[in-house]
Amino acid sequence: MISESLIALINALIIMTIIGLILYSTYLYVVSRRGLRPSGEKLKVYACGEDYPAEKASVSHFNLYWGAVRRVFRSSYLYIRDKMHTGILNDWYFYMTVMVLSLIIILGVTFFIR
Amino acid sequence: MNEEIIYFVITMLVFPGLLFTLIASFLTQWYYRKLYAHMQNRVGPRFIGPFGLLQPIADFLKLLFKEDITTIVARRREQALFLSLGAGACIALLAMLPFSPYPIKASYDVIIALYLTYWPTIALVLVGMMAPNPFTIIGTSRFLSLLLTYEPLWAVTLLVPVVLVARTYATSPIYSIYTSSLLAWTLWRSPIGFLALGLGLITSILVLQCKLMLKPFDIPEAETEIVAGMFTEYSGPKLAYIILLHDIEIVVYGLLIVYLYLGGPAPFDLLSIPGVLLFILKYAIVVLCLIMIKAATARFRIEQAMIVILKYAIPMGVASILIASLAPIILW
Repeated sequence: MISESLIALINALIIMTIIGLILYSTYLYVVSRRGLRPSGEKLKVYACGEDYPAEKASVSHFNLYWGAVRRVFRSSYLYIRDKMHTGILNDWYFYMTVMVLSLIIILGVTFFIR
Repeated sequence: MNEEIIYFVITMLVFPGLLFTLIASFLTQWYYRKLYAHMQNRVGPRFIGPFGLLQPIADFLKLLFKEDITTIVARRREQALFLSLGAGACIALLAMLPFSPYPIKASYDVIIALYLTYWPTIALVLVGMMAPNPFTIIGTSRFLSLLLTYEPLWAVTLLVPVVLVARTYATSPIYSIYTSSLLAWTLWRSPIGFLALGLGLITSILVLQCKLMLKPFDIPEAETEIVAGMFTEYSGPKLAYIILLHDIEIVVYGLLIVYLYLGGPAPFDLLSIPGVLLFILKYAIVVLCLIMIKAATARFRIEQAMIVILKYAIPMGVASILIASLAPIILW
C-alpha cells in the first residue's frame, strides 16, 4: 500500500513539475524574445505618487505570519498570553506536561479507533 | 509498459492535462465574464470570435507579450516559477479524477490531493511577498489571515465524501479521490449521506468563494481600496499567469466538487452524449453559484469575513465531517 501511494505521489509530482517547467520556459521565451528592458520610473515601487524608499518596502516574514495569527485568534492569543505568561518556571513546566500528555492521549485514541 | 507511458504523457499534456485545462480555463473565463456582465446589465465579451468566445485568449496573449516590469526590490524569475508550479499542481490534481486516461490513484491519496490544492495558494502568497510594496504587503497579510481560517475547512470539504465512502463501502483503494468520485453521489439517497454531503456542498461553495478571492471575500486584492492588493506590482506576462492560475483554479476546484459531491457524469457514463452534457451542466451550475454570490454581494471587511467563516462555515464543515465519520455507527 505504501509503495502504491508513493508511486501515486511521484506521478503527481512529475506532472506538476513538467507542466510547471513548460509554463516557466514559455515565460522565459516570451520575455527573452521581446528584449525590452524597462528602466527609470518603471522600476520604482508603486506608492500612489508618493516617494517610497526601497528599504521600507519589505516587512519581516516573521511579522507577516505572526500578525496574521494574532489577527485571526486575537482574543485567544490575549487570553493565553495573560494566563500563561506568569514568568514562573514551574507554571511553564506544568503547561508543557499538559500539552505532551494531551498529545499522547490524542495519538492513543486515534490508534485505538483505527 | 510503453502503453502506460503513452497514456501518462497524454494525461499530462492533452487530456485532462495542459491542453484541456487551458481550453477549459479560457472557456470558463468567457462563461463567468458573460454571466457576471449580464447580471450587471452589461453585454460582456462579444467582439472577438463568435459570441466573444476568443476574448479571454486575446486578453491572455496581449498581456503575455507586454513589457515585463519588475521593481528593483522584487524578484524577477521566482514569481513566474511559482505561478507555473501552482498551475502544474492544479493540473496534476485533475489527473486524480476518474475521467483521466491514466488516473493517479492509491489508498489515502486524499493527502496527495490536499497537498496539491495548497500549492496554488502558497504560490500566490509567495508571489505577493516577492514584490514588496505597501499595498502588496497589506494584501498578502490579509490573504494569510483569511487562509488560516478557510484552508482547514477546505480540507474538511474534500474529506467529507472521501470519509463517507470509505466508512460506507468496502472498496479499494480506500480514502481515495478516485473511488469517492465514483461512489459518493450514491449516498445522497440515504438521509445521513444527504445531510453530510448537503452540508459539505454548501461549505465547499462558501470556502471556494474565499479560496478564489471572489466577492465578498476579495479582501486581499480589494480594488479601489488598496489598488490591486497582492497584485499591485504585477503587469504583462506575470499578470497573464496570475489570471491564468486563477481560471485554472476555478476549473480544477469546480470539477473536484462536481465529481466528489455531484458524481460527475453519473448516472450516465462519461463516454456517452448524455453523460458529457450532464457533466458540463453540473460544472456550469457550480460556476453559476460562485458568480451569483459574487454579483449579489459587496466586499466584506477582513473581520466580517472571518466572522462569517467562523460562525457559519466552520460549524457546517465540522457537522458534515462528524456525520460522515459517524455514518456507520448511526446507520447500524
